Amino acid sequence: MVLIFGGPGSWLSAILPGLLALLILWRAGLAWRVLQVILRLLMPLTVALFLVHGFFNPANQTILLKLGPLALGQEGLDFAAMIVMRLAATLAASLLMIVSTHPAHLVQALAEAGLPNALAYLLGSPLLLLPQIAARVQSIQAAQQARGLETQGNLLQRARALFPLAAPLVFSALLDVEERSLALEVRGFSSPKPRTSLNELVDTPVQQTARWGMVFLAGLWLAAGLWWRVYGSH
Amino acid sequence: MAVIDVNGLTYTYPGSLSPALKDVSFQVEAGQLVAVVGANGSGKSTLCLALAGLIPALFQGQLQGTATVCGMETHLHSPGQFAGRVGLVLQNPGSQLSGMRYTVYEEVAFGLENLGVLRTEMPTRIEQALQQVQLIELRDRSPYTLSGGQQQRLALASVLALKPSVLLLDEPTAMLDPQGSQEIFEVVQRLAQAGTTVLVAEHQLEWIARYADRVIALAQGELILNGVPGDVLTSEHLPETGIGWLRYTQAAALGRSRGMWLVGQALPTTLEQAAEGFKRALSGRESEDADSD
Amino acid sequence: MQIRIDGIHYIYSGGIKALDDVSLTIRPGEKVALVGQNGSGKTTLARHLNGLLRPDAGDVWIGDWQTSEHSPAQMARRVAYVFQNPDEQLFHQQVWGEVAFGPQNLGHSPERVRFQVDQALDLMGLRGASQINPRDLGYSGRKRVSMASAIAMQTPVVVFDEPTAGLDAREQEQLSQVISLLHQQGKTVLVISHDMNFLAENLDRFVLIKKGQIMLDAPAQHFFEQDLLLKTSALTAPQITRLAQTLGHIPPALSVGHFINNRVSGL
Repeated sequence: MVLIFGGPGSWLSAILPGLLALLILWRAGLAWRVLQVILRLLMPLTVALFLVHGFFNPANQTILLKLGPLALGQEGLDFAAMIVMRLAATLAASLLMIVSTHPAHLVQALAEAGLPNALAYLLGSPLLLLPQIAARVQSIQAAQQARGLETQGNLLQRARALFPLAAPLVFSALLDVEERSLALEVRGFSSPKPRTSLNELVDTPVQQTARWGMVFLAGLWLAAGLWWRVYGSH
Repeated sequence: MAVIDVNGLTYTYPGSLSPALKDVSFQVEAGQLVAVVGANGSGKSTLCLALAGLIPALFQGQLQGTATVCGMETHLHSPGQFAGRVGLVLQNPGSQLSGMRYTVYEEVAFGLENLGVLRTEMPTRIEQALQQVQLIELRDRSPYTLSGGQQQRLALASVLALKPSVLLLDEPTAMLDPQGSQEIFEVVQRLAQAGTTVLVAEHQLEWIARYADRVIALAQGELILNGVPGDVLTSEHLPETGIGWLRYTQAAALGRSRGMWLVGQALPTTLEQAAEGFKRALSGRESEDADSD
Repeated sequence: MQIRIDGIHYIYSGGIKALDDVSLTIRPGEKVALVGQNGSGKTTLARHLNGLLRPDAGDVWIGDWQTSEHSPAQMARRVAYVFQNPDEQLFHQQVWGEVAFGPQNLGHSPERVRFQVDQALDLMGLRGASQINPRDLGYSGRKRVSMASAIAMQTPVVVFDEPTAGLDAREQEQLSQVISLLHQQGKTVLVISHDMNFLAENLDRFVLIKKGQIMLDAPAQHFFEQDLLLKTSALTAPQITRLAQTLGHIPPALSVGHFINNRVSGL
C-alpha cells in the first residue's frame, strides 16, 4: 500500500498545490467526490467570508457596488477569495491523505516514526469507530423521543433537545473508553517490549525519493515565497 | 503450586467509603475451572480486575493483602507484564475491540504486535486462536459487522492468541442471547478441558452447576463460600445474599416441606438430580401408601 | 388499550426484510413475552409500537391512534418503552430529574409530575436515591432509574427491552413485583427477553418471532410444549418446565410454586 505523506508545507500561492492534489485525486478516480465534499464544507463559509470582507474590510478602496450605506469593495473580495483558495487547497490535500491512507497503516507508520502508541491510536481510531458512534446517536435519539422529547420542529425545541441528546453520548463514550482501555491493557497496549507488526509497511525507494523530493520542493517553495515577500513588488 | 493465590485481599476504590473486596483469600490450582458468583456489587468484577493486574495499577485506591497470579504479585507488576500470562474478557462485546483494525484477523494480531511476537510466528498463533473460538471463516470480516456473540468470541480469541496460562472472564454472557452464551460456554469448556486455568464470574447457575470444578461466592466484598458446586449452589447463603438458587433447588427445598422431597436427600443442582430426587420421593410415598393398605 | 398490528411489513435501508406480514392483537391488560433470536425481528416489531419505526405496509394501532400519524414523542403518551441500555439515555444530574423528564415532556402540571415521579421511584425502590447522580449508581441501579423514568409516564402500555440482562436474582425478583403491580393497575405489559425462567414466571402469552414472521403465538403453557420450534430458535424451556416434562407432568409447570402446588393437590 502506498503511503502518501502530504507535504507539511505552507501554501503560498494557494492555487497550485490545490490543483496538484486534485490532479492526483483525479488519477485515483476520486476527484469528483472530494470536490463535492470541499464544496459542501466551504460553501457557507465562502458566502460569509465574501460578505464580511466585501463590505467591511478596511483595505477596501475600489468600490464595485453600492447598497445604501454598504459598499462592496474589490480589495475585500480579493482577500476573501485568497482565504477561500487557501482553505480549499488545504482541504484537498488533507482529504487526499485521508482517502489514500488506510488508517491502521497510518497509525502504524506514525508509531514506527516514533510517535507514542497512545497518540497514534487517538489519531487513527475515530475513523473506524465512526459507524459505532453514529449508531449510538440513533439509539439515544430513539430513547429520548420515547420519553416525549420532540427533536424535530422549531429552533427552540431543537435547542432544548441538544443536551438530552449530547450528554448520554458523552457519558456512554466515556464508559466505552474506560472499558476499552482495560481491554487494550490486557492485550499489552502499554507493554514495554518493542513492537512488531503483522504487515510490513514497505518503504520503497520510490516512496522515499518522493517523500524527500516533496520536502525539498516545499523548502524551495518556501524560500521563493520569502523572497517574493521581502523583495517582490505587490 | 497454586496458579492463583489470593491472601487477605482488601481493596477500596479511590473516593469510596467501603472496600469493594474485604479480606478475600482463596487459591486456584492449575487447570481448574472456578466460577465466582455474587449479587451485583459483591466484588466479582473487582476481583477479576485485581487478578488481571489492572487493580491497583490503573485504578489507584487502597490495596491490602496480596494477589499472586502465575507467581507475580499484582501490586508489584505493571499490567503490561501480565498481558500474555493472564487473559481477561469483559461483559461488553463491542467495547473490547481495539477500534484500530479493520479485519478479524488483524484484530487478533494486535495483541501479538504489542508483545513483540515475531512476525513469522503470528499467522500460526492467530489461526490457532480463531480456530479455538470457531471464527476462522470470518477472518476477513470487519469486527464491527459481527454479532454480539461473535464479537465476544473475537475478544476471547484476541486474548487466547497471547497464550495465557490463566483466563479470567467477567460475566462474558451478560449481554448475549442464548446462542451467543452457548458459543462462549462451549469455548470455555474446551479450554478448561485442555488444561487452561479458568476463573469466570457468572450468573448462569445452570452452566456452573454442570461444568465448574469449584464455586466461590462473594457477598459485599467478602468471600462467604468456597467449595464444589453441589455444596455452594445449595447453600442458604445464596438466596440470602441476592444470588438466588437454581429453580431445581428451589423446587426441592419447597418440596421437602410438602413431603415431595426426601428430607435426607441432598438438594439438586441439575435437571437429572432433580428428576431423580422427585421420582424417588414419589416411589417412596407410593410404597408407603402400599404398605399402609 | 388495545394494540393492533395489521399485516405490517418493514424493510431496513440495506434491503433486509425485517418484518414480513406480521399481525398481532394484544388486548388491554395482557402480559406478553416477545421472544426470538437476535436478528429475528422482535426488536423491530417492538419499535413499531411507539412509532419509532413506521411500517412500509400495514398499520399499527394503539387504541384509536395510528402510529404513522403521530410522532414518537406523541406516542409516548400511550406507550412507554424501556430500552436495554440505560447509559444511552441518562443525562440528568439527579435521579429525580431524570425520572421527571418523561412526565415533563408530556406537559403535565408540576404537582402531577411530582406525584407520578414519587410513585415510580417507590415502585423501583429508588425513593432514597432521588438526589443521587444516576451515573454514580452501578449498572443495575442505572437500569432501575431508566425503568422508573418510563413508568413515571403512566402510560397504558409499557414495553421492556431485555430488562433482566445484567440483573441478579434479587433485582429480578423486584422486577417481577413491578410487572405484577403494573398489571394490577390495568396496564398492558410487553417484555422482550431471552430469560425463559423469568418470562414463564411473569408473563402469560408468548409470541415467537423468526425471520420477520410470527412462528408461534400461544399461552405460556402451550408454548413450551412446542419443543421443535423452540429448538430452531435456540430457545430452552424454563428449568422447572423441563423438570416437569421429564417427570411426565401434563401440562408442565411454569414456576416452582406451580410445580409444587399442582403435584400436592392433584396426583
